[in-house]
Amino acid sequence: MTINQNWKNTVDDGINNAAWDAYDTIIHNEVGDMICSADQHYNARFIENAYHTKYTGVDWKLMKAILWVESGGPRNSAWTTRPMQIGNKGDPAYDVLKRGADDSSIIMASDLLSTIKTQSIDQPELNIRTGIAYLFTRMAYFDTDTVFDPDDAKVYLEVVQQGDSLEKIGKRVGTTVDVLASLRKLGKSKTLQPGEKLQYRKATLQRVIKSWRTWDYQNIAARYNGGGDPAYAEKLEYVHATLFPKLVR
Amino acid sequence: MGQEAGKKWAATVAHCQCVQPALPKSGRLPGITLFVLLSLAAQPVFSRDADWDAWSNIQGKAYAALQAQGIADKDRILVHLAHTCSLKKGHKTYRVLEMRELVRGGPSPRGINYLVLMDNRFRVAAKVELGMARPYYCDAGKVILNLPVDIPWLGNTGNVLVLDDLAHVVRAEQMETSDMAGFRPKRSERH
Repeated sequence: MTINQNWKNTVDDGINNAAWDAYDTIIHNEVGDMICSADQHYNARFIENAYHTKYTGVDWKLMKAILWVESGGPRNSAWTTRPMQIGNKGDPAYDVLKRGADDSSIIMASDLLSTIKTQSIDQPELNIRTGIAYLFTRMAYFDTDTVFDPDDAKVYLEVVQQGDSLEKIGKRVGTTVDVLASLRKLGKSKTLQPGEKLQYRKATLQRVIKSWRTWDYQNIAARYNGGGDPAYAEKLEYVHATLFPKLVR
Repeated sequence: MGQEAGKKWAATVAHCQCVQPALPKSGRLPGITLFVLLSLAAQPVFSRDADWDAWSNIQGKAYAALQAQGIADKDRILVHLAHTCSLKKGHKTYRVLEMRELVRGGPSPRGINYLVLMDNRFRVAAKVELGMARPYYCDAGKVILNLPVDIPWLGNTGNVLVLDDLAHVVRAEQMETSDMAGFRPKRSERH
């Protein structure tokens, strides 16, 4: 699909007009740089847990490109209200995040959920933060998995009683079937014998980020725009790969 | 209404015949023949208006049911609602619908696109987010799409959706376009 020339003219204005950078600090602070750090931005949080999820960091300028595509720039009225177009009437994205649904509560920083619930979404900063949270939620694969208690690394011992099963023991002592089976030589396969000793660590089953979709233009278009604008991926690429290197500031 | 339109169309054609300069004799016969053929061909089309009205009626009912079940939203613009195919599962028939809505506002409106399986009583049995994908056809309890879609509750991606007897998606598989029905001779015919 070819991008409309009028649309190109609109975003080309951003090359020389610094007003298009007005939200850079907000986006940069939210996403962070592609390094591991002690900050609470998305890159720092998810790179820290990248052992399982293979998260390698996201270029914050991708979010800036989305902002340009979504808002149409500072001349558009949406720029000062809902620049990421979250919260438009009939938009399910806002409702998902407000409820912390679809595992978005795992994605959002702790303060964001309460802010979304209590404040108007028609403020640019909150709209941008919510839009970014929605994209991260849509780009992640989630699953239910064992999570060890971070405050208790001790290995306990439990003796099997008559009529026990791994499920029963797990519930009784505060761990999961997977933990009990993984520390047992016979795994899940053999019947438990009364008197058998099982090792375990305290753990619970939780929703976790399993992995991430590739952060390419096609995936971002499909996950954020949902197929509403067939040229969305090309528009993102145009802004991110063609315009941004030309910005004159 | 269809017959009325047919009469108007015939009258317009007849009027054109009247105001047209007289054709040379050699050209009149094909002209008259064409008119007769067009009239004959047009007749069955006009008589099928009732079928089209019935489909609009069903489409309206399906859309209302989708709204009532929280899948469609009156605040969004419905841009596409089509019956792609029907699936027989056990004793039930499920209608496979493709629904596309747009969220108003913004230069790049968000799309809310679903594949919906609905029973004959307009109850939604399953829905799958389509994104850019489109359903092609149904085949023996499966729905075949042009592009892969995510099935989040399975952690699975594919362009062939395998359904159980309740029309729930239980598996997503991959299929090359060249292997789709009708694109090639059947496997047995290739050997």
